[in-house]
Amino acid sequence: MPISIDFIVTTALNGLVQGVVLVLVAAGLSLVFGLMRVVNFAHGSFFMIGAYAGALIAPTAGYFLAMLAALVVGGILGVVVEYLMIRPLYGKEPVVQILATFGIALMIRESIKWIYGTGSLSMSTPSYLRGPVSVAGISYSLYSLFLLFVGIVVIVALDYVLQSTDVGSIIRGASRDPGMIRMLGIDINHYWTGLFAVGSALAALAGMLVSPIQPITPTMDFSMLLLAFVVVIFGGMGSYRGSVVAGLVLGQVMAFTTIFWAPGSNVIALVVLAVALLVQPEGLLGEPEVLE
Amino acid sequence: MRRREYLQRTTAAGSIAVFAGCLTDDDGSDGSTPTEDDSDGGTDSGSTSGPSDLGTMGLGAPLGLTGPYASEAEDSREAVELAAEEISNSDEFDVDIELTWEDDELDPSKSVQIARRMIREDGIDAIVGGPSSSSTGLAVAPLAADEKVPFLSPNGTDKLNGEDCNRYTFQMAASATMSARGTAPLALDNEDFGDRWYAITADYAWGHDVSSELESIAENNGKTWAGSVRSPFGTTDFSNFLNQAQNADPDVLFLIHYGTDNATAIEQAVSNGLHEDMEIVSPLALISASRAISPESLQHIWAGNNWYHANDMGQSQQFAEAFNDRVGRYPSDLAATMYKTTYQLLEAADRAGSTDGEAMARELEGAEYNMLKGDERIREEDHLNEQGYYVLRGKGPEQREYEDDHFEVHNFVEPSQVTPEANYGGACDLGSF
Repeated sequence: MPISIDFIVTTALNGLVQGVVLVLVAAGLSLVFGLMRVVNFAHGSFFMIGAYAGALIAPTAGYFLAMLAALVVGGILGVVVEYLMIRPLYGKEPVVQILATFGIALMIRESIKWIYGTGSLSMSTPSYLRGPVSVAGISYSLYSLFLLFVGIVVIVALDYVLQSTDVGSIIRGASRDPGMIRMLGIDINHYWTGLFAVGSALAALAGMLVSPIQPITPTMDFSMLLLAFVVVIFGGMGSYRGSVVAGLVLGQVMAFTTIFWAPGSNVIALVVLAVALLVQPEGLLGEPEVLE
Repeated sequence: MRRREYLQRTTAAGSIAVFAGCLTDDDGSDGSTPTEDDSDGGTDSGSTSGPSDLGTMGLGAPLGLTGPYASEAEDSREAVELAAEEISNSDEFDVDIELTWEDDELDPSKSVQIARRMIREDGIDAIVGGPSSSSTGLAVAPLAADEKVPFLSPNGTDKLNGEDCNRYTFQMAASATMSARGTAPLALDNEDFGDRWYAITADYAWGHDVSSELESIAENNGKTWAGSVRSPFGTTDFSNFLNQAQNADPDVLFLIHYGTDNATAIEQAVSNGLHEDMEIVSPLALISASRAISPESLQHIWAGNNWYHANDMGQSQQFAEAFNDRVGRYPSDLAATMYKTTYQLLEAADRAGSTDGEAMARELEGAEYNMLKGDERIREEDHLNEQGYYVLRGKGPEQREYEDDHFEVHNFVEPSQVTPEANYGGACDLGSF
């Protein structure tokens, strides 16, 4: 099959779109682990909740209000889950956290199945974002470009907050050494709920963004969670920038794998994870002591 | 006549016929089905001595109630339950039907485990309604033969009428080859469709079968097979596969998927603008999947179907309205297949006068019937169900008059065009009873 430049460029764009979605979901997972040392198996549920919120709200309220609603619903649900169910788990053994958050994920999934059924929902792409656009002779989906734009803005904004604000300094500091932050007289507990809400809202936003082009099903939580964990471990647990790099790299690896070995496009993420764990267990930009 | 009026009229007539016990042969031969024409209330076995006393009959199947085929599995279950309810309430049959279902999550080993337990412990007399995928269906087929329990399969893989056929397995839905032969004439007969064909194919038995049949049809008819790519089961992002299709620059793109994957592939194909450069054909697109496709996208799609609810063949309207009244949505083609299948099984049991597996299987072989889509026949040689095939065109938002108004019927391809010759692969050895 002759491979054109257009083909390479669009494949790279596909990988970028997938990478950005992975980063949006993995960012919350990584930060929550970094700050709170909680392995959150319920994180994929927020991605699913965002998709359902978008699909249910968009037909009446419009696309952008649905986006806002997904953020708010994801954030509020994050606060509720953190306050009622995650808070008692701080400092507990990881296995307790994993079992408890897995239970939360199952509760959310079964609730969705109970209310909306086991089948898939759909959400229409808004008419003004439909169809392909041509840039420099290369045709590409307008909606995917829009998703890319929103995703990159959010990723850059979050990086700015983490790197250049006081709140960001505290979060990064607490991620590295929570004891030291406490000694400085800062009550990091106040930041936990807020950070959990932001992570949940970002995952919900990602779910809402993909819902016009991907199936909205009660099983979309774990399939995304698996990939998000790969990104977090590959990037270095607790490192936001690590997750950004890992997500974008994984997106490209998955996109180009499809060309050369289509059946492997689903398993390549696990291959990446295995190689990453063997070569650099602390991840691309992670701190070795986090693993301990 | 407006469609609504038509539906109401036929439903009224149909429900009187069905619930007054006028379940009878069309032509006095075997394979009787409910009709609104007959009034003698008799069947072959029933006209002189009444229906056979079948006692209690257990039916059921493992189903993919979770996963990408969840909507289809639900439809299948509802259709069998509707048929069972009608049959239990009718004077035509003397039987109490007990149904049992369990989620196999599309896992072949789990599916076999469930089916075995249903046969040995729950005592089901036939497997009807599932399993939901080709791989689970292929796993259950040998069990049906071992246990001598009829398996009336909804699965499409050609292996079920080929190398994996057996005396107790009956392929009631159109096979993969039939889906390909049913939809290919659309692209062959219409000059606007162009000559280069390409396929994105579900990477399992059924998808491979449809794709390879389309490839040979293309080559035998002077078309160019521009290639194909296989997408893994459960793919959520088809952009890279669609990208490869675009790179091959075809005139016709076949999207060979089922269930949620089908909806996702279609939505993304149109979203990426492929419909502007090529005709997009999905050889098997059920409305259970179409509900997850936006009307803006579906209007650019051609689809093959075993059956579609907006047709007036046989008892289609009675069934469609009875299903809609019961479930609140119109039935998919799979629901129709399983509805007619349940009736054919009961007809076979009634003729045999028994729910014994071998007796029913012998009666199913060669059964001819006319119920939802013209003349059909379960042929003796390979247990393939000869039948026609629908070609549909998706409707846009402005064309829709009611919620499940997804398609308009483009044409019905006759069984003679769709059905391959008996044991066409040459690999089917049914074995003994």
